Amino acid sequence: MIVGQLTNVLLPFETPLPPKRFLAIGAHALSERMLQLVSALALRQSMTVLDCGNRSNMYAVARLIRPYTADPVSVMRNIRLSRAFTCYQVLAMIQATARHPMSGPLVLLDLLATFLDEDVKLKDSQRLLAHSLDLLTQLSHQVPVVISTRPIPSIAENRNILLEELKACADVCWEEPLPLPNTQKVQLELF
Amino acid sequence: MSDPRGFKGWLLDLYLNQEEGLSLWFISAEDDSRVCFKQHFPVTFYVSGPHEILRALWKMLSGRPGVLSLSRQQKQDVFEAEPVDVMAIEMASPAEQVRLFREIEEIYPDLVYYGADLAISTRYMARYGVFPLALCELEVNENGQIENIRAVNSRWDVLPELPPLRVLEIGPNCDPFREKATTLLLRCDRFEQSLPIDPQGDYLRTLDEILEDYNPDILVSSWGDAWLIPFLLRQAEEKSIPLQLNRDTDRTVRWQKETTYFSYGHIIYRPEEAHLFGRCHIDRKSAMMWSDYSLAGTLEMARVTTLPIEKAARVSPGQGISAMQVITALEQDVLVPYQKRQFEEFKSGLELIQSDRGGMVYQPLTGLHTDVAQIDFISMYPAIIILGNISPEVPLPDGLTPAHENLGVVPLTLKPLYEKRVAIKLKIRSYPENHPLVKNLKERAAALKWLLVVCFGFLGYKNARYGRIEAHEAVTKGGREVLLRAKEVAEEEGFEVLHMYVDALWVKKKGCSKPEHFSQLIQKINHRTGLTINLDGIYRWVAFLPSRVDPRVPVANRYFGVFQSGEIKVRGLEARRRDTPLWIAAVQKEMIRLLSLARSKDELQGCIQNTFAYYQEALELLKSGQVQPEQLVINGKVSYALEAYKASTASVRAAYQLQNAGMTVKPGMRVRFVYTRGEPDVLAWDLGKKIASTAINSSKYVELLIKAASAVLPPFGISEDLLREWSLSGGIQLHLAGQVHS
Repeated sequence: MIVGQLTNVLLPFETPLPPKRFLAIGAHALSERMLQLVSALALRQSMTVLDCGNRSNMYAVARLIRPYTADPVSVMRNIRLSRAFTCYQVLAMIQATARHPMSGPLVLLDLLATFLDEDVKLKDSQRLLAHSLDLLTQLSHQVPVVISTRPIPSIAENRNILLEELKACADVCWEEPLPLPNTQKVQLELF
Repeated sequence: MSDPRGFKGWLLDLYLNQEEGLSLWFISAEDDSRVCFKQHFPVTFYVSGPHEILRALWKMLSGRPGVLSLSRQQKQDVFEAEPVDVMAIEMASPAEQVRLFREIEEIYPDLVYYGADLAISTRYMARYGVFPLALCELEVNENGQIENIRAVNSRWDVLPELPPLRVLEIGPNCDPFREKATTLLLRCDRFEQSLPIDPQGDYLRTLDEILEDYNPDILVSSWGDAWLIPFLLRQAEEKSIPLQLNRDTDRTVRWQKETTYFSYGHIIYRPEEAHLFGRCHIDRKSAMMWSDYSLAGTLEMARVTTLPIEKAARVSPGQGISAMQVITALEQDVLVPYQKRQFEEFKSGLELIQSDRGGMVYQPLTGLHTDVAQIDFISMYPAIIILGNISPEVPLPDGLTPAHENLGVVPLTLKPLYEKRVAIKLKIRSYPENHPLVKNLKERAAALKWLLVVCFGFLGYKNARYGRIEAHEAVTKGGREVLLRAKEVAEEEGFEVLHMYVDALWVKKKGCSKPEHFSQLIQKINHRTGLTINLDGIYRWVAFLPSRVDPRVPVANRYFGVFQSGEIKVRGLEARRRDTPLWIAAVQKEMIRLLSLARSKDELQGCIQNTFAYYQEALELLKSGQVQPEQLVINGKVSYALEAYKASTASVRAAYQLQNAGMTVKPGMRVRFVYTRGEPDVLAWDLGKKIASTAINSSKYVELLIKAASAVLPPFGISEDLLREWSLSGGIQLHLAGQVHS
């Protein structure tokens, strides 16, 4: 697996990733591709994963790296990760990350998931997200910061502004193309 | 001023009172009267943050009406190693505290708040040790203000002295969402009465008189929240007839907004709730665990959790555990965070794989087995939490060995609960089965069981104030360790382990078929693990079932069997599912019952014949349209807003019918429907339309019946394919023979 190529195939970002803010938007917060990206990065260097939407399936990562290394244990140890389950915890997790110098890329999985929680007032979600994005901007001066998120579901339409704020903050933004509308398959004439 | 007078009684209800602080209703222990007293109740909450911001806040609050005092203190936050500097804000009343907190949170959202959103009942318990239905001694002044109060019994009493509660049951004569209710049915210990719902509203006058004369403490209603109370209030207003549902006549009914939430993998909808003042309203249909533990269990839940009775009846046991943990924290002078900000500690990808695992499952050996013992650890996870001292603020144990001797908030909360449940279970065993106390004790034990069950999940719950994911993982790690030790012991003792599932083992050994044959095994497991394991029973036979998709793959926790006592145990089958039509579930249960009549392998053959004959009859009834439509109702659910669905499932199609008829459909709501012939292919049951048996799409139900029967018959030699072929054609001869692993 050649990391540069893979990153490029997975997400159309320039490689090797420079210290910038990359945003990828797609269904399921592009879980599969992001885990592939994490695998590709971890094969080369130490890196940090902040899981904001319970998407860090490390079994999948272990399977992905296995064909490319004789020492999967060391590669799995290259991944430093933490999970947060509320937007208050997400901010605290990013604050904790920002307190220490970073040595490798930072990947945030499904960043907006907890900010859509209807038990949290939109105003509070916005405030916490703004703090988080400020810190991520600072971190992006040191290391590449790759963020994934999913489109805002229709039941949380009033929170679209959060995605807009996230997009506005990104240096590079890529959105997964929408699936083509179903077209009726027509049986070709056999005779 | 005269001396305060004494009063002794049981606390029934407690709520905020804008003027005097609190209103408390008691049932007098002396003359059976119901009395309301008031009490001033200053409360304190805490704020921490950068000192310059705290200084600005202090300036803002100094001298402000309602603020009794401001002070700088050091307090313990469970997630911090050292005590934190906080500003303590003492408020004159709980109502003022709520108002002020909302205001300053708006201005200073980044400060860290503690004890800012606590339920008043929780604060009261922590300060005075008083809880719902506690027998209390009070000193009351001439203005009806409580000056002193103390509980004379404890939440942990096994047989507490309880008040003579007046309980009035009330409900319509039918399901009001399907048919027009014509009568109200009332029942209590003194009378039973039917009140025809007449256009003049005489029933409202009679009901009002009953409420005044009988003066119930608890109204147990059917459809009270969603239909009865709104209907009664609307009718009373339209007809200008006074109807006083509250005991506190200054109050109107308080409505708690409807809500949809996510719990244990399910979207749950809770309708609007009607809460009363001075007496309690419990709606059987909204009471979460009513079918499990009824009124005695609900009252037990209120006593141990200190939640108000109306709330204890409706909320999940998780909220009860949360309230108990908060009380423990307050009693230990530990801060109660408003918003938990603790995230998972950083770990490597490898460490996550090693730690993020669930309970131990050892896949069963599929098929039919005889003389199998099921042994279960008693409340395994709570016992591990207590034994290992697992709590967010203390170092985690190494396996089962605690790393710290002083119990943390979580085990401190659980220990008395666990001990009370064990004491109640022992009490039950000490009485004969028909003793009048046994039912009550069983219901109370069931309520405590639910609290213990959720305490483990709550450790990993995102909003749990005293949750921590590492602590949650430490519990499952301990569970796996315990089960492996038990398996080792069983195998050393020559037993075959057929299945293990989180906290239970299924074992057998040639020649072992009586309880005493398993005593030594149990004793050794108890010794090796430090936990208590119990013989749940010995099965005459038990069938472990394979996957429907691939019969070569066993499925954990999908089995049925019959104990030597004749008791049937079923897990993971249609009969246990909430969405299965009543009739299908009943047929499956009856098939298992007929099979359970076999007391030996020799009798099995005859029972299989009888079971199959019964299935044949059921199938005929279904095909000939002789099953009543109400027995075929499917209890579906919509988990999202209807427009969010991309695929139109039967539940969604039925939900659209309700919505088109002007009814509200919310995520988490149950949607009842039947399959019908032609278009539309489903009919929402709550549209209230009459449906003829002939309009039912019997082929859909034949499929469901085949599925239910094919969970039961394959271990006895009748495969699903064979059953399907036979059911749909009805002509082939089956060879009915079971294959038993003896």
